Amino acid sequence: MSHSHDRTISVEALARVEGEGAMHVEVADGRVEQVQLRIYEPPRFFEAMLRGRTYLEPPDITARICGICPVAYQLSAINAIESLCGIGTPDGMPMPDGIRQLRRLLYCGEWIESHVLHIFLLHAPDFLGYQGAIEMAADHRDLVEMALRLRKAGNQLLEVIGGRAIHPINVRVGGFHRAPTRTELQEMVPELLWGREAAIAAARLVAGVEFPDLDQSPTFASLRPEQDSLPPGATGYPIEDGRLVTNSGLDVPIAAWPEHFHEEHVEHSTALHGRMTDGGTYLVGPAARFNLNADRLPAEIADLAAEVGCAEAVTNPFRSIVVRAIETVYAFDEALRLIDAYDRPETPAVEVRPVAGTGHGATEAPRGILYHRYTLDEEGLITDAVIVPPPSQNQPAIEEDLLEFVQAHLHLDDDALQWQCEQAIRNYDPCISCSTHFLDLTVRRR
Amino acid sequence: MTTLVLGVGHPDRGDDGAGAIVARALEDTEGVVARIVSGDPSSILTDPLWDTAERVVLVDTVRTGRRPGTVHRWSGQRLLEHLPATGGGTHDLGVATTLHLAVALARLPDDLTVIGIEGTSFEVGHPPCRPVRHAAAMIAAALAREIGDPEPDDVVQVAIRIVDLEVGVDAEERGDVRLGES
Repeated sequence: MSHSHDRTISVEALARVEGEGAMHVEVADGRVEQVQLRIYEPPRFFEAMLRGRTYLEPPDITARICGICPVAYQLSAINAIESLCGIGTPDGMPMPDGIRQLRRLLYCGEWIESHVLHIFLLHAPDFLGYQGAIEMAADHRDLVEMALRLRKAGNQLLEVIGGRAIHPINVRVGGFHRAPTRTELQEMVPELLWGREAAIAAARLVAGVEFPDLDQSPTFASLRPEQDSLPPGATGYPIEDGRLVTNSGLDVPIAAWPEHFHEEHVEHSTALHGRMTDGGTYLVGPAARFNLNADRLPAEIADLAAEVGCAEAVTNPFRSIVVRAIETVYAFDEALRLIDAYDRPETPAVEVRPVAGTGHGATEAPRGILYHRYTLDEEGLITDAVIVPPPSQNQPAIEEDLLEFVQAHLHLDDDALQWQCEQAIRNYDPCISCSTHFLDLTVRRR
Repeated sequence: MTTLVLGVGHPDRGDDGAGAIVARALEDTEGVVARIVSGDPSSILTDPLWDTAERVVLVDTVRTGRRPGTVHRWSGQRLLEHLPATGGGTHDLGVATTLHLAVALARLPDDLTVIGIEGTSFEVGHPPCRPVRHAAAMIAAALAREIGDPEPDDVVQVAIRIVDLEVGVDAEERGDVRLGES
């Protein structure tokens, strides 16, 4: 039954998201009582697997958690371990500029690949009225061809710096196994220049679609690099490091994470749910990053953001596709800046000696903050590991958003409501494999 | 004449490594450009040879419920009937969706063969199971013969060497290969 006041809607398998799960909606007397994202993809036990391993192993092991954001896992792990071992800390051994540049450049490749895939091949069909990328490709061939070429540019960065596009093998604690030459990086410049212009055109294109109304004002959380730590020419939009900030006034170092955020089990999901220690929900990801760091965009990209309707904070989750497009432009622009400034390090890595204690690290994965914490013993063996991926943090807030969204769209029949719910969930680009850790929908209308 | 051989799958995930074995066995065969596609399959659409090679052969592990090592071979007009598009996830589009995307873009090669090797185990850090390894070796040899390699048996030896030495499988584990046609 589609339009009764009591209703149950079940989405049994959501398309164009990663992983396996379901969505269940309970409606009674015309009111949405409950929305649950039921994640049933099996837990993956990476944290337990890390115990007993050496402090040098997390970058390679945790990279295997995700095929599209392995760099995020590698660099969050490295940040945690290096901060504990006194590398790149205010009173520790400085990290050479060349290694810092390569890490950020590598991460630009990952942002480009992930954002372009999501914008054009997974999310754009929603707004252009297609079931998927294949149906869209028949009418928008140039758009899809452009997306494939943009992704290739991102992959090229990953291959040249990381050794390969999936699960890079050139990354290590202390730096890289081999630092590419300046010439190797310069060879990518023409395609990156094309990519920046293509991404600008793409941002203007996606800004022109019609967005459903949904205004949310959650707590946004992201990283924000310290102004003093920025190298010359950098504007400091957060990617591979920064302090933890929120729009509710939090501004703390990453080591303070456990004091402000925690994870909890919920019965309907194998993925942990992230919450603030006061019990509140929060959102990480492109919109959070943008809303908290728009002032850190280069002037030309800030102007573009204003032109495409993002002059102020983005509170409609459906407009996240525009933010991703802006960030894609930034990733190309930043890659070009980094290549121009690249100073090949004398050695590709610095020596890192283990220190007993607990280290915290976080980076901005394409989907938001990825936090790692490792405890090492005197020999450098891991005795405890905690990994908090972006989708886990966003799930409670997504459920809250969906509750309001479903309530406003209860007039739709079940098929139409399911389609709209799937579209709403894709706003957050959830990656269930990372969070365990997507979508069957059941709506129960009673 | 150039044949592009695409070995899809991850070399370190059990039976998923079958495509990589075939690609590596053929990489020195004249007239063949062999690539291992261990990431997003849609990346094959950005390979210039996808549009210019006279022939494209894509080898991947499949699961249809038949015995491990069973070989499926699809080509021609009916190819996509056997490979329904799945829509893709956030990580990649998958082989079938990539091929349907190629059709939508009017870029499906005229001469495309998809070879599927039935697999069952995809555990990280494990080699392909024996029937899958042997099917991969035999497919490499069969493709070498089709392509006109004068010594296709050498390809078998290369494939066995990859399996024995690099994947770490004991030679005594070898057995017969079942070749099937779907």
